[in-house]
Amino acid sequence: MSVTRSEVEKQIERREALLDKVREILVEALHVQLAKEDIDPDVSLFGTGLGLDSVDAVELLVGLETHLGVKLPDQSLARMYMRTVNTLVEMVIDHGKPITTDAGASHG
Amino acid sequence: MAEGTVPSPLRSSVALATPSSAYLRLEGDDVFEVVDRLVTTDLYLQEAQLRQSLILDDEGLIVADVIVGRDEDAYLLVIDGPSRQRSAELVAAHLEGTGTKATLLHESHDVCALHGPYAWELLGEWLGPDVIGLPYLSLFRASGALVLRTGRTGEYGYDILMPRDRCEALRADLERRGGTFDLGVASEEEVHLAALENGFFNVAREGQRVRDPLQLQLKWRLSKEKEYRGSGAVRARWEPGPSRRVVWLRSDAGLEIGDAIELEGVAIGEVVAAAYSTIRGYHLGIAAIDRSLSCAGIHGYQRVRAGERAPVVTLAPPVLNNLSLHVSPQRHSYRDRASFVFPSP
Repeated sequence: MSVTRSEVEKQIERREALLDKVREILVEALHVQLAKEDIDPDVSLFGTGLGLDSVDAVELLVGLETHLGVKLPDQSLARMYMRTVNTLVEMVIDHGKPITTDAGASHG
Repeated sequence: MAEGTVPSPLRSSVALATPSSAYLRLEGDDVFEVVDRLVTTDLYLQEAQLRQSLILDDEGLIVADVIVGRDEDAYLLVIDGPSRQRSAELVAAHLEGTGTKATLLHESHDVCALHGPYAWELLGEWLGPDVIGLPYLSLFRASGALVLRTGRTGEYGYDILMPRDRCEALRADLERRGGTFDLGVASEEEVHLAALENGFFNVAREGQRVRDPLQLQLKWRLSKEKEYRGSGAVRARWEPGPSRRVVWLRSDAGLEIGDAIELEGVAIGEVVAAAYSTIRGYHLGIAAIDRSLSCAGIHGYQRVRAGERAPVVTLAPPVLNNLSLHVSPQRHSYRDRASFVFPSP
């Protein structure tokens, strides 16, 4: 299957929009001491990387539910998704409410 | 997991490995200042705390992957990348003219590592129950051994340094107790694969092809507040950002280091790490891709080798749901593992 550059750029735009929202939650709600643009997508959330702890984990889930409509059908899924900024984006894609980006498409 | 695949002990029980890292202990009146100028992370560590860091060259490119730790008035360095001899020379050159001296612990100690979802339990039975509660990235002394909870695989992981005069007895005891845990052996290749599956930086693999920490998504290991070797070069690249950035990818048709990655027939990057993930049943790799196109979850790129093309999909690591996320030292035991239902990997 041939995919054009413009189709790939649309996929990236949708993903980047979600990354930006997750970074915003990390900086504004969890007070991560980094500029949003300095948070790499595959950085670990806990232990190393951003160095979050179990209290932050609860805050993070609340933030994702409040701002991005994430509702997990099974709380054991949280451990699987709460690994990196990018896996949080996967959580939003899989369990968040559909959002529309400037690219004009939605996910959900 | 692919049907019929037997999970390795590293992913299902406990595996014994032999790290090739250099282990150094640095002491002296000016040790804080000396180590602070050597490594890239902030060095304010609590007693017994470890932190992942880097050593760079004057161009701000990675020379070594380092874990730095505070051990009373001394600092420990676990160095990967250069050989043990080269690591010792690298540190010795940095210490010239200072009041700090280095001891090579890998020469005075026998070193092994335990990795796996039940590594904590075997370690507790072997060296005493106090080690079970050892937090991630911290160190502890037990039964004469120095234990570092490093974790490079996504499972519980410990480096154990045993004094030479006690290592024979300690190893025999480990072997005797290991039977209960189906203790296996993990090759260096298996440990590297586990690191790849879990998104851990591996200086011996992708670090050989990409040496810029900004391209490797390692900004979190770089202090903006202090000076260290290469810090000026890193800061000069920080604002414009790197031209490429690494991204994980999968292929059903095979990946090899050096394969080109293309979009619409135009080269956009190359594969810098690759292995077959038996637990996932596909070829897994890392590619350094033009930054504007380096993004997880993208369908549309192709890997190209000798004119042959195959589709790849970019991924967000870790690519598995580690058993260690669900095994709790307070509630579980390898002996009772059949009583619990854990999520599939």
